Amino acid sequence: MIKPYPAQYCASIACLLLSLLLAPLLFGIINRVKAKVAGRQGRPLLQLYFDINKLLRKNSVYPQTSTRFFRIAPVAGVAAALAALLMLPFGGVPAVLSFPGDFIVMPALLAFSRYMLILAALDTGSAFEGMGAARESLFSAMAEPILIFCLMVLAYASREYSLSLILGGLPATLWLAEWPMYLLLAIALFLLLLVENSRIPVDDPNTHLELTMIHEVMILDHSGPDLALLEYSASLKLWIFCLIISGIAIPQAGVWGFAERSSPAGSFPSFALEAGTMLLMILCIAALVGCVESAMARLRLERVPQVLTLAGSFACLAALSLWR
Amino acid sequence: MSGVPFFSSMGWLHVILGFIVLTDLSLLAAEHRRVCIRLIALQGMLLGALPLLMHTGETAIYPWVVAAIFFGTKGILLPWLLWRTMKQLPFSAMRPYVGSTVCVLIGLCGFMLSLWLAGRLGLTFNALFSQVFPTSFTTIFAGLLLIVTQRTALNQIFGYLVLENGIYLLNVPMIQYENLWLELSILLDILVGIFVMGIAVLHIYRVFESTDVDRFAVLRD
Amino acid sequence: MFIALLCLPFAAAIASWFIPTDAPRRLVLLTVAGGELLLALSCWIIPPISFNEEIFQLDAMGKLVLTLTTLLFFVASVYAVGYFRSETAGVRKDFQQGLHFSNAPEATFTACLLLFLTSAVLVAITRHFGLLWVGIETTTLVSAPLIYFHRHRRSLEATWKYLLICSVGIALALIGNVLLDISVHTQERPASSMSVDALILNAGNIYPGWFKAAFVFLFIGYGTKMGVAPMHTWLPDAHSEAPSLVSALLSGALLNCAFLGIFRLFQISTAVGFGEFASSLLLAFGFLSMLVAAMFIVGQGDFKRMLAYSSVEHMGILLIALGSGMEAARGGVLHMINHSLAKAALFLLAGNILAKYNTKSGHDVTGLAKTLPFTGPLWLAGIFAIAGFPPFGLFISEYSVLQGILRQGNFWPALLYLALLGIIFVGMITPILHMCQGKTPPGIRPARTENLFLTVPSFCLMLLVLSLGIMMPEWFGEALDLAAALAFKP
Repeated sequence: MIKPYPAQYCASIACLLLSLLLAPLLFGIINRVKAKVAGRQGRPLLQLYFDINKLLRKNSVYPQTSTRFFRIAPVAGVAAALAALLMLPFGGVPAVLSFPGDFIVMPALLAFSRYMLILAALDTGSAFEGMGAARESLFSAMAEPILIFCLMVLAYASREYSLSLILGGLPATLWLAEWPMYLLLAIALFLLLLVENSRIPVDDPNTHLELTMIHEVMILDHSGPDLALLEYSASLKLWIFCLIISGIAIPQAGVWGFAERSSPAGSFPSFALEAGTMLLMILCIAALVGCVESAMARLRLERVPQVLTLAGSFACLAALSLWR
Repeated sequence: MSGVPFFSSMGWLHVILGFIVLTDLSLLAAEHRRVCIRLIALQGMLLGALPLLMHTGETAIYPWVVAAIFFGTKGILLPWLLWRTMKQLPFSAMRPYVGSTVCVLIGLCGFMLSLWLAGRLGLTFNALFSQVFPTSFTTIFAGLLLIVTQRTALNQIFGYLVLENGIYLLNVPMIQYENLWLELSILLDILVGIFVMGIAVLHIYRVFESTDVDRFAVLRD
Repeated sequence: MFIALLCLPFAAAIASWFIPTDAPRRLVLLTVAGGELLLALSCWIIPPISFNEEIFQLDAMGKLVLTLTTLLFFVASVYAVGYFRSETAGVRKDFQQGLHFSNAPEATFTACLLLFLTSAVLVAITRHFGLLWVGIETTTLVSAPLIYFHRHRRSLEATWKYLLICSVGIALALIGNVLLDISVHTQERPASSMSVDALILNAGNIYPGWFKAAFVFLFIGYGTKMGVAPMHTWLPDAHSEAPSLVSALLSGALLNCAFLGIFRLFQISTAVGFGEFASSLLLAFGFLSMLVAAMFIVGQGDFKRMLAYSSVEHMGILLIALGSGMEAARGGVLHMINHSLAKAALFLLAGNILAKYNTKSGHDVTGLAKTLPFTGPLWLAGIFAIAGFPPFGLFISEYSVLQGILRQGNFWPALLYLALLGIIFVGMITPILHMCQGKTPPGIRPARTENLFLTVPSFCLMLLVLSLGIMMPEWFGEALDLAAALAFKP
């Protein structure tokens, strides 16, 4: 159990607020990168902020067949993503909330938000949304075990059961000793990111053809503030994945004395350095997603399991590299 | 792969071994011949570099000569031969008997099996053998899998070559004893073997107008 | 001496590649085959001196295999001269599929034959495991073009199967070699030598787990090359599609080379103290081979395939003999010689039948005794010999193997051995009697005489088999004792 010190606590909350503020920026970066590669000017970086702002000032329209599930889903989605974010460390300080076993709770919260979204999609009674829900549940049923497996491997490698210690407290010595495993896991998680966030080799977020959509087709009937919340929770989810990957892809020097778990001492510059690196890493991952989207075409639906197999293979290799 | 210092030659050895496992799995997943040949070339180059990392004797020139020979043959000459043979055949998509996803999963099982077997067989006098054993057997396993699951004669040659790479890997630690004339004659044999097989594939294409081994259905009881 | 044994056929192979006309090339083939045989025979009188004992050394078993190989090669090359004369050049029609085909160039064929001899001789004269492997692998590579002499689809199919299955098998044997090297790698002996003597000398210090793995891989590898079931699948295809003289060499010389590999492996195993383990494996695969052969021989229509399956059976007998103790092993070595001689003679005769009747189906061949006055009786005698009928040598050797099994107190295996032999005997004799008797089918003219090049070789081989059965010279029996003792008394 981690005993937070006041300064750490403040830093944790500051990091959380930073996450909440910057999450929608990732979509802007992805779109910018895609536009630049294609030789276009592209949308403004802050486009999603403008969209959310605009949507929040509108009224919601609800389908006649829908029940309260349809209305709960957006709120539940944001709430679950927020709760998950509470457990993720950022910038070398422990998360706001941390307890042994939260590495299982975090994926469960993500699953809960997806569950609510699928219920809402089925609630409309539309054939398209039902189709989208079916695909989403199929692929996530394959993706979730891999995510949990990855986290379990991480937990085994660090012999800890809290995300704050698994990801945040990664001392440089451990990382240097086991770096092949961390890199393999980062690759696996990156593939999972593409699948879970409906990015291009799996799903095309910009398509206009409902038949080929997965995520977008599920939120067709939402409007106004509801749609704004859904967009925001999607960006939070992307942020969460980027956070996990950057947490394992770069070793941390163990500033704030957190790695040694003894001294409360620490300095603001080192925290700023740590958080800054992490932030830069997250932005780089977003840019990488943009590059992948520019370089690849969407895969046929039946090839999506191959991407997941690839992710699973990398995760297995990472686990096997720990074999002694 | 774990518990070794980052920048020592041992650390690099493990990195290369890890990369060889990755090339094995990629070969199992590959869906185009061109990709296969490039992967084989990459694997050959990685293998060719290994003698440099394992050598512990006094003479400085010996490992370089050996590495150059194996790097040149496995990394350049053999892939070039295969590439030339492939160019003489018409383009055809690979249609394996077993899908690539399943192949990769079986390959992973092979890796696990090799790790288990390495633990089971125990240590040897020269610890290097135990260290290369899992990677080597994974490569051998991947080669056998390629031979069994592929439908065209050319792809079966790829499998044979990967199999031989695995055997070579098991033998590399012998470099420390500077007594490799036998390995060289074995290499020569394999080279001739690939050459003969390549000629046979061209004959098969000329006679059957395809390199699909499914057409071999006349001789049976 | 060793250098001469290797260089003579190798140089002749290179030369025959460049000789443009047929007659001198055939002369070179005959001369070299005869010279090689003389060299091999002279080894019996003057023990050859090796410049490096570790690499080249001729022990009792090697001497037997060397003599046998060179003898068979000489006989086959005499047959080859007659065969080349009777084969018409140019495009011909395939009688089975109706497609047109031509032969491979005779120069290439001759060169590959001589290279085959070189590699087989290398296998016989070395006691070094690595070199043994190189020799056996080379026999695979150079015999592939031999099988593809008639360039039609079936022979190509057989060639590819042969090449791929045997190459993979040999690759497994290579793994076994490396594992063997690792297993004997100890503190006392860091830089290892792979010769049999060095390995036996160091028998006390091995890593048992690695040695067992090495044994399994080597056994499966050389077993593939030897045609042991269930890795025998290439054998019937290759033997039935190759030209008859190549089939004779494959069955008579190549399988023995692979058996020699297993023999050497067994030598090490007994020395190291894994004799029990090795014997049980040999017995299991030996009986499986006999069983598979029995299943496929009964009702086999194609007479060349039947001979091929009979080879699988006899390889099984060799394994059983080696696995059943010293006395049976002595019978096994004798059996190896008898089988090679008889099987080579039969394949050569099968070539004559094929040329006359243009079919491989045993049902379509009738009246052989009248149609081919020399080949017919020889064929009948050969089949009786290979099935183990009394006056011939194979009866003696099969009987002494049985005696060896019974001496070990294994009643049930002996019974199984007898039952399988009985089934195979009936399965082989029935169609052959049908082939020899009856009328000549319409459209085929009975021949008055036959080409002597094509019949005398088989006659000589059959004479040898008969004489081995009736009276074995004393010095030969001593040689057999020495060879069998190698495996059990290091």
